[in-house]
Formats: sequence, C-alpha cells, structure tokens
Amino acid sequence: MTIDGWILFWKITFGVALTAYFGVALLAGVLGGFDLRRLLRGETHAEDDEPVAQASD
Amino acid sequence: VTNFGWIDWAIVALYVVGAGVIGFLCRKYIHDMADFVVAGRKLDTGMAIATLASTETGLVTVMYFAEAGYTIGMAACVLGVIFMVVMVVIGLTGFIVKPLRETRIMTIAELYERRYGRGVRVLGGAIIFLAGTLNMGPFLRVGAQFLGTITGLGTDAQSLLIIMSALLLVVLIYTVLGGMFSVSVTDFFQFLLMAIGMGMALVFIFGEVSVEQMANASVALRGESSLSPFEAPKLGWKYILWMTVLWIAACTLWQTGTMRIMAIKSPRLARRVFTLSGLTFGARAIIPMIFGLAALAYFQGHSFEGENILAMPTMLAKVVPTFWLGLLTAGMLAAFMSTHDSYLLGWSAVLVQDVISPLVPGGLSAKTRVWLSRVVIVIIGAFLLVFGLWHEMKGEVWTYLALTGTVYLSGALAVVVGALYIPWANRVGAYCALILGMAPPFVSLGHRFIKGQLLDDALVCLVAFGLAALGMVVGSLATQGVCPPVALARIHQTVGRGEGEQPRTGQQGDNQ
Repeated sequence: MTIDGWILFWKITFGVALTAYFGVALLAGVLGGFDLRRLLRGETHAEDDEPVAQASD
Repeated sequence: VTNFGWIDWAIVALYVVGAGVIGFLCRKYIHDMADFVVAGRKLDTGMAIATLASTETGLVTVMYFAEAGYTIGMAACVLGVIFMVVMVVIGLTGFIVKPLRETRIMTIAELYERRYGRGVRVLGGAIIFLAGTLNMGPFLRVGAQFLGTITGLGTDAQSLLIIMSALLLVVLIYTVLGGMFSVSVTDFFQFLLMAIGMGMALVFIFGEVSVEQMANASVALRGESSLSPFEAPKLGWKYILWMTVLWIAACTLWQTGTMRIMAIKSPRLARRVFTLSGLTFGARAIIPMIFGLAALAYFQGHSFEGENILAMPTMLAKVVPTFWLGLLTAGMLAAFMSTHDSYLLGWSAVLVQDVISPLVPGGLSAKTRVWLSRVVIVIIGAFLLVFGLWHEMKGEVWTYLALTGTVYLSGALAVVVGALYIPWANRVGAYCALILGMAPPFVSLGHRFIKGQLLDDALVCLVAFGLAALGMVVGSLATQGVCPPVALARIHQTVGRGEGEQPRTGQQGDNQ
C-alpha cells in the first residue's frame, strides 16, 4: 500500500476506535448510574443464584 | 516547563480523598471472600462495562502504549485493531467467556481443580501468582515517571522514590480496606473521569498536531515502514500472530479480567458486556498511541533528550492547559489506582485461594483468607517498590508485559480450553501444558534479568503457546488408560455461590 493509502487507513481506524470508545463510555455512564444506585441499595443479585445444576463439558 | 498549577493539585487531591472515602464506606458491603474478590456477582451492564474497561486501562497502559507509538510509529496502532476485533468476536461467540462464567469460579486455578484435581490447581496458581507479580513489577515506577514529569516534581531517583512511596501508600490503604466491591464502585467513576480526561487531551492535541503531521513525523523519524504493521522493524507477521493469540488468552483468562467476568450477574450478560467492552479496547491502545505519535510530531522541531517513555507526559504537560491537565492527571491517577488494586486483589486471591489454602489441612476459613489476602497485598506492594527502584527496564515496557503474561497465559489457554471444551483432556495433559508453556518465556526472562540480553520474544512466545497446546493434546491422549479424564465438577447451586462464599441454604459441592 502507498503512504497515502496507509494514512487514510489509520485515519479511518482512529475514527472507528474513538467513536466506539466514546459511544460505549456514554452508554456505560448512563446505565452505570442506575446500576450503581441499585447495587448500593442491595437491589441486585447474581441471576444464577437459583438452585440449578450446570457447568459440565 | 509544565502547565500543572495549584488548581490541578487541588483536583488530584480531591479525587484521592474522595476515592479513599468511597473505599472506606464500601467496607460494610464485604461479608465474605466472594464480596471481597468478585463483588458478590452483582454487577449489571453499565457497571460491568466500566469496571472491565477500566481495570485494563491504567496509567501504565497509557504510558507503555504511548511509548510504543513514539518508538515504533503509526503501525503500532495495529495492536488496538487486534484487541478490538478479538474481544468483539469472543463476546459475540461466547468463546470461553460464557462457559467460564457458568462455572462460578473466582480464580482460573479454581477451574483447574474442578477438572484436573488439586495438584494442577496448586501448580497453576503458583505460576499465575509468579507471572502476575513479575508482570506488575514496572507499574509503580512507570506511574511515578508520569506523575513526576507532568507535575514537574522530576524523575530523578529521589523524586521517584518519594512519588512511588506515596502512590503505594494510597493504593494499599484503599485496596486493603475495600476489596472488589469498592474497586467496582470507584472503577465506574474512574472510567468516566478517564474518558473525559482523554477526550479533552485529544481535543488539545489535535489542536496542536494533525494526523497528517503525526504520519509525516512517523515517516521522517521512524522510516516509511513505520506506517505498515507488516513491515515496521519491531512488528511483522510473527508479532501480529503473537499478539492475536496472546490477546485471545489475556482478555478471557488474565486473572484480573476474569474476576470482572465472574462479577457480572449472569453468563448471558457476560457475553454482552464483553462485546461492548471490546469496542473500547481498540481505543485503549490507540488513544495512548495517538499521544505518543503526537509527541513524536511535537518534538520533531524541538529537542527531546529524555527516555522514550517520558516523551508523552512531557508533551501533555506543555500542550494541555491548567485545570484540564489536573482533570487528566486525576483520571490517570484513578486509572493507576484501579489497575493496582485489581492486580493486587487478583494475585493475592490466587496465592491464598489456590496455593496456600489447598495446602493447609482442612483449608482456611473465609475470614482467614480475607485477612491473609490483605497481608499478601502489602508484601506485593513492597516488592513493587523494590523492583521499581532497582530494576532497569530493557526494551519496550509492553513487550516485557506481554512476555511475563505469556508465562501463565500459554499454559492457561490450553488447560482452560481443555477443561471447558475437550472431553478427553486429563490431568497429565494439564501438567504438560502448564510446564511446557511457561518454559520458553522463563528462558527469555532469565536472559533479560541475568545477562541483560533480549531474545526474539515473538518467536519465544509463539513457541510457548504451541508447546502448551501440544503438551495438552499429546499428554492427554497418551495417558487416557492410566489417567482417565474427569468431567468438570458441578457446583451444587443450592449453595448458590462459589468457593469461599458464605453458604445460603446448604453445603457446597465437593470436587470429584
């Protein structure tokens, strides 16, 4: 690939990576706020605490 | 010259005090080892993404990836592409992650025992502890180098000793008091602070240096090949293959990440969290590398004579203005604390749960294990201080970390895949995989520490992964008669919790 081709490739890569990072950060920030409130109030628990057999190959 | 002023010090102090108060307050949520190590398996999507993403994105991460960008050039960013693709594919397929979460273990070595017996657990635990502690060796020094540079305190031996001691003290108090519950809570704030800090730093950096200028500096100072990951001198196909295999193992089986997976409230949610977190892992490498590339371009017309690893913080101290520099430093410090407490908790849990407790007749009580973990944490802290003061790093920090990681990950990948997916995998195969997997990177580490020489680590580590897989296959198939394979031990769910957790309604399932 030419130098210009590589520069374009890295520009697109930077764009995708930064968009994904800040997009997920925003999502985690909003959802995490609610999660934190439930966690501190003791309103959340492991979903597989119920008596079921599992985990074999 | 640095833009770091008294406002920045105030922001950093506010964060340190705030994090300490949160850690102290979270003590009331610690009832047993599971609360201490995997936050009682209560994390939902948002918290889990934040904690998974932030535990592996520390100040040290930013430093060594920036060093890679500065030293190698633009092609180093291929690491971010590998990390993101591998994690998203694993999240979508559930490979290792889903069955691993279903086992309800707390440490990887615990899985070894459920499938292969106690001896494999003790050996595996010892390897994990050794590799993990060695891996952490440079963390404290690198963190102190960042803070010393960005605040203007300096990076001479005396300044580093003072900064490292202060950092260690804060991290130890915070970790020993709170455990994983407080780590998860502060991880959330750290993730947000880090995202804001890095976002603003990018704004100021792009205001100073464009991507074209970074690429031009990369070509001018590191050669045309520094744009291509297949042709750059320190990269190439061998290195890319090593990083891909290493990351498949690391993102699923690195103890600190595994603890986060196990802290998620269900196996189904674990896959979703992994996919979404994976999207952030590209930038986890690429943002620091942009910082490193920006430093390369920024100092192209100026003069920078220091160590390569100091170029990025030196550039940030000049480019990012007061207040924003404080916010960025608080984010970095938060990341530093998050990584340290996760690693300290992870490695101490492995030593206590998987090596010491199984060797004590009748095992240790949950209370004793929590206290012993705290003692081990303090001992590891002392090791970090000694290592940081006395060990001079040869080559890039990232390569050292990948090498020490391979000591445990090469064997762990073969043994865990065998445990979860291969019915004929047996104890002999597991022993062979662990021993053959750790041997090549240990030889390379020996050359580093004793002779001061660097080997071809990509080749060494690919051989390690290959030998471990071969050991598992040949060792298992050759001994099926004398050592018949045993199915993965079931966990009786009436207890509802894993080893070391307080029983709720009955007895914990015995291992086979």
